[in-house]
Amino acid sequence: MDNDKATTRGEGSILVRKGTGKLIVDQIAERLGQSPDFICQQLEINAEFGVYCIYISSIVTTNQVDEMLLRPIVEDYQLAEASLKNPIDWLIKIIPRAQQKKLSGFAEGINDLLEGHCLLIPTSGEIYLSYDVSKGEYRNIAEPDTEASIRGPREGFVEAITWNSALIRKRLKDEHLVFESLVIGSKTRTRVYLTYLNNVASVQVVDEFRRRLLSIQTDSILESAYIEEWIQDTTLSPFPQLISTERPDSIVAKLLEGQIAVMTDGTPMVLVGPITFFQLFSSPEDYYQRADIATLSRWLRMFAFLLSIFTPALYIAVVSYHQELLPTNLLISLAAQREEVPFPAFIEAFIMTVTFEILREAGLRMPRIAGQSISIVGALVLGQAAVEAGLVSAAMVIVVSLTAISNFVSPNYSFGIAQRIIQFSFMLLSGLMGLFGLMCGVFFLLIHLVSIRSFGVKYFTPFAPVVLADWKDTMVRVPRNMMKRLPRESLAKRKRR
Amino acid sequence: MKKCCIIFILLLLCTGCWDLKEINQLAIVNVVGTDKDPETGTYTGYYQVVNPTGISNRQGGASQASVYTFHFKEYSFGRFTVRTSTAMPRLLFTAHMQCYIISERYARDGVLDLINFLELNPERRTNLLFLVSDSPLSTVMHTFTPLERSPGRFVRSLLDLHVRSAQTQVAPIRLKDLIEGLPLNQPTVIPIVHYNGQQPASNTKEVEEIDAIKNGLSFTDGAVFIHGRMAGRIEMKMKQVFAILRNDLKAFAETMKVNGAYVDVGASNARIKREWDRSASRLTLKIYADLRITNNQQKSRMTVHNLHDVEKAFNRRLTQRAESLIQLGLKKDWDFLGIQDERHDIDSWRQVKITFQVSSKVTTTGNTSTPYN
Amino acid sequence: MENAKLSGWQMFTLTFIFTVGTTFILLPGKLIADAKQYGWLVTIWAFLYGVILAAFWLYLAKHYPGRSLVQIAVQVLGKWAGGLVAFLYILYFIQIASWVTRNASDFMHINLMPRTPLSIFNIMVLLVCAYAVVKGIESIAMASELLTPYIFIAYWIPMTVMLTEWDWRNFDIPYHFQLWTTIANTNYTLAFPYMETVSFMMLFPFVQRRLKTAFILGIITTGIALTISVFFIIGILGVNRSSHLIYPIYIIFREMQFTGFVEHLEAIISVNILFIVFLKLSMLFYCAVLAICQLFELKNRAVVAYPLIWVISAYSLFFANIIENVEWVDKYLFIYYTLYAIVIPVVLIALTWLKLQRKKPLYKEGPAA
Repeated sequence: MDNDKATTRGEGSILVRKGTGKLIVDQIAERLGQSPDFICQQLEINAEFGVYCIYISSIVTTNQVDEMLLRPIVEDYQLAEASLKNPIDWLIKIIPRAQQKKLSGFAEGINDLLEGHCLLIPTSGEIYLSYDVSKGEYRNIAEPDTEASIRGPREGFVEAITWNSALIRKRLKDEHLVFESLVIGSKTRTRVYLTYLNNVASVQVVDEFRRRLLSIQTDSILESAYIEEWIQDTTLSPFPQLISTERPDSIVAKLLEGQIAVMTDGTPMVLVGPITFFQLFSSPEDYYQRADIATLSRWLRMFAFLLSIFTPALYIAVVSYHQELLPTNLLISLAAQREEVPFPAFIEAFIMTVTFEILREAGLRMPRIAGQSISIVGALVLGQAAVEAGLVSAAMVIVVSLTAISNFVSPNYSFGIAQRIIQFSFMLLSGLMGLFGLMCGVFFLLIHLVSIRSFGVKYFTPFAPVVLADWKDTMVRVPRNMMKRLPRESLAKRKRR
Repeated sequence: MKKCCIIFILLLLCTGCWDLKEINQLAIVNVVGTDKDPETGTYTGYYQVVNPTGISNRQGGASQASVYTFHFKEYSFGRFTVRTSTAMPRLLFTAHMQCYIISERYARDGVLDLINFLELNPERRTNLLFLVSDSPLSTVMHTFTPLERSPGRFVRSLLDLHVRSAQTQVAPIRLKDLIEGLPLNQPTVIPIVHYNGQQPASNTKEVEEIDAIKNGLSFTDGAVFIHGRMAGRIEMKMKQVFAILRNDLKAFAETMKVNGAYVDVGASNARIKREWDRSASRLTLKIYADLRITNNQQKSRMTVHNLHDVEKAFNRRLTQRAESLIQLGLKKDWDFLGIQDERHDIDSWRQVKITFQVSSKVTTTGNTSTPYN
Repeated sequence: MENAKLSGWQMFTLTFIFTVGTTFILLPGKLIADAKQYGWLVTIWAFLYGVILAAFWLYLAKHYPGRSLVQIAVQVLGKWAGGLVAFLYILYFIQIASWVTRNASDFMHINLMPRTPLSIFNIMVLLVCAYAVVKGIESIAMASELLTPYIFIAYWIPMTVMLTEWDWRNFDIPYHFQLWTTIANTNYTLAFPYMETVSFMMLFPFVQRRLKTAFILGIITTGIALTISVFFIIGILGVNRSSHLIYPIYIIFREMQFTGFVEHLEAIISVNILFIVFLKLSMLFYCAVLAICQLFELKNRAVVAYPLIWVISAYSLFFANIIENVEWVDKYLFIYYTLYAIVIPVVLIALTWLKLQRKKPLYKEGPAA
């Protein structure tokens, strides 16, 4: 950094000349001057006139500052003499940059500085210029890890909101695509885009989104989950009321159906809403596969959902309360397996599932290289050895692993978490009251599910209340040419695609 | 308020588990045998309890007994539950019973008391097989069975196989059929189980013997139950005809002589039609069946004419057998056809004249058209 | 009042579930004992009677659009008399709710979990239903919309499979059929599902469209379903056996058996019964809570619903056992229900007519003057 030598350090720079520009610079320096990357350069053009160039070196591209801002000023020295009357016009003229804006006062200037802008403040006059020279050093666009797909685009969102909006724009070249920019969080000042197609998305829902986003009173937004928690309808529920995804293609598909996306700067996860319960079973890949296989795999996911919440609970209920419901041969073989197991079935199931949860959590946190050893410990020690030692029955191991595997089928991670919570509470209920307790739990869950709203859309929409037209993309996925109508559940303005 | 509620619910849940019973705390009863001494009126209950590790061969339980039989003497059914706890280390669990076996003397005394006890009790099922034993009950209940490790399953599988080959859904030999037959005059025929041998095969070693018939159970005759009381017994052949006439048996085998040689046919798809004449004095039973030749010892070539002979012989044979059943019924005063249940306007069912019209058709022959000479 | 909207289909499923309620497990045994093989005929005229009653209530409701039974009573009879009538109805709803609770817990107690105390079943069921009540009638309606197809399929498929045990002779029992005696003996059939339906007058205002069709069709569907059920029970179990049983349908499911492996299907029927009871109870509970809220102009349903659990669960222990319950139903139910289902609505209608009569001349004089 050559410029550093010519730079007067923020705290030491007491500029001789008087002017409004000087005042602004002083105020900015007072607030930001503490940090070592705050840079305030003074370019003296003549005795009366100079330009302050202020930026935060760690978040700007210094090259750009040198080449595009400082060089023209220095080179155009002669001409400057003539234009002293109107320094702003002169600056605009000699620095041909697209992203510039005029500012006045110091507060705005500070905001811009913190976002990686460079301020050119003439010593005279209240107006100064701000140039966006922020560093664009982000992770490269890569395939999303959590939502991999066999067929379909490999691009995933990144942490930069500008790149993300580019990814959407690239796919959706429509004049009606709107990005509404909001800044949320008094400290983090996170940029949030409210994205929708203004000729498809319902005005009420967009207004509701905007109202809820604007009413967020917080100091920080570090991830879209923060926003999700602020704007969801029901807080006391394990179920996600907004889908978060890092796949631009799935966001575009949802925008086209009239849903609304909330993009957050600094995270690749984009929120979409309003959703229904059955959308949690659909994966973007459903639309890239043939319709028949997509339908079947959707059924498989629903079945896996039922399995994952009911298997352990039903097993407990049947094994420790309602043995008469088992086929005789199965009962005898279970009885033989359980002959030496010291725990009641409920405790046994609880131990196994908790162990599995610990394994899963360990698998998430530890380095990849250690993964191998964990899986050996899990499979051998907890599976085989526990059965052979007679601590748990083989049937219980099967039940727990079936539950665990079915849980992973869920295409939406937060939905998978919801399943685990339900699974545990069902286990508890059936452990205490058998089938009766389980049924109480099921009815409770059902009432809870139908009472959830996602931005005014009823959670169970195509089934309760019945919207026959929307069944084409819930229980089944009909071929594209039969899906000419937009789903009604997203309350879209238009009926046809 | 809300917190109190939640705490309360949790407390409520903590008191749960009243009905909790682990599988390995259960004595899974497989077969129940009941005997009643008609003189003293005391019951003897036999509970054949499954030993799970003995049955599942995974843990090498070959040397262990697959079932154990407990028996108790009591004067009332309700007391058995109490008594079992004196000798059984596990909870009596009767929901998985395969069959009831009762002694012949008890059956002849009437089983209404047993039926009432079982129907009242929500834990017991009434759709299980019901058998009468003409051998001493203690022998039957103390016997191991070949191929199927538990006697209950042995009986069940054997009879299920019968049902399958009879082309029907269920055989009406369950306790519930007896219950449903209580108000009827038509008898219910229940199989009689017989033990072939002197000593009960009460040790697993006995099952190791290769002769499976010698010390085993067999089902031959039928016990005739009217109004919940065993009225007498009929032979296997009669039992079969009775089932055919009730249309419970849709497939059966028949042997007859055609042109002086034996021919075996398998009848299948048997259908019965009952036709009354106006005055209800004559009942015609029309029986249709498809025949399949399973054994043909005739020397002659198989022709259409010859097949007609076979059909005629079959028709004659079946009519003959049906008539002999009716004769037996008249002699013993058993209304095998359920005439009284069907026509309440008839004064005496014995006056009704019954004729049979059997028509059959050979639909399947075998691989050979002419036997070798 | 809750700002809810119910669709016609939702109203239909609600009516269906409500009327089917605990009827289909409790009624057949008793009915067949009283009417023998003509039991299914009894259900036919019972549902015709139900349809007539429904039409009558709809007629009353037509005069007061957007008003529930309690509000109608208060409007017609004034604050005090109307308040008293409304209070009677609240008691009535609570009473039916507690009977339903009791029926369910009796069923569970007898058949599935004999050692668990009755009050535990009561409180658990009521807690779940109270949650539903707090969530509102829309949630209850949506739950019933979701569950009805399941209940329907899970009930009829096994029933149809059991037809293999059908025996026509079961209809051929010597029994002298006398129409009037039978009607008199089985009057509880008129009362048990159909006169309870007066509770729906609380829900009428929520239905915007196709109220009449949905409501009447719901009753007709129940009637047909019940008739076929009773018919099947007679055919499958026989008159003699089913009249001795308390829960004949449960026994049918218990004895079901096909292909050797699939047996013991009583769990299905138990689950069905539980779901139906949950829904019916939620509706009754909701009616009671709504009536209290409307009468005393309360806003928060939770404040009413949770304390009411104790009242209902305590009241449901009123009968010592199921035999007492059945006998009470047999003797007094019809007369008792007549007060709520017929007498009070007739009074309301009569007063409405009187008011209209009085109004009419005034109205006619208006333009003349």
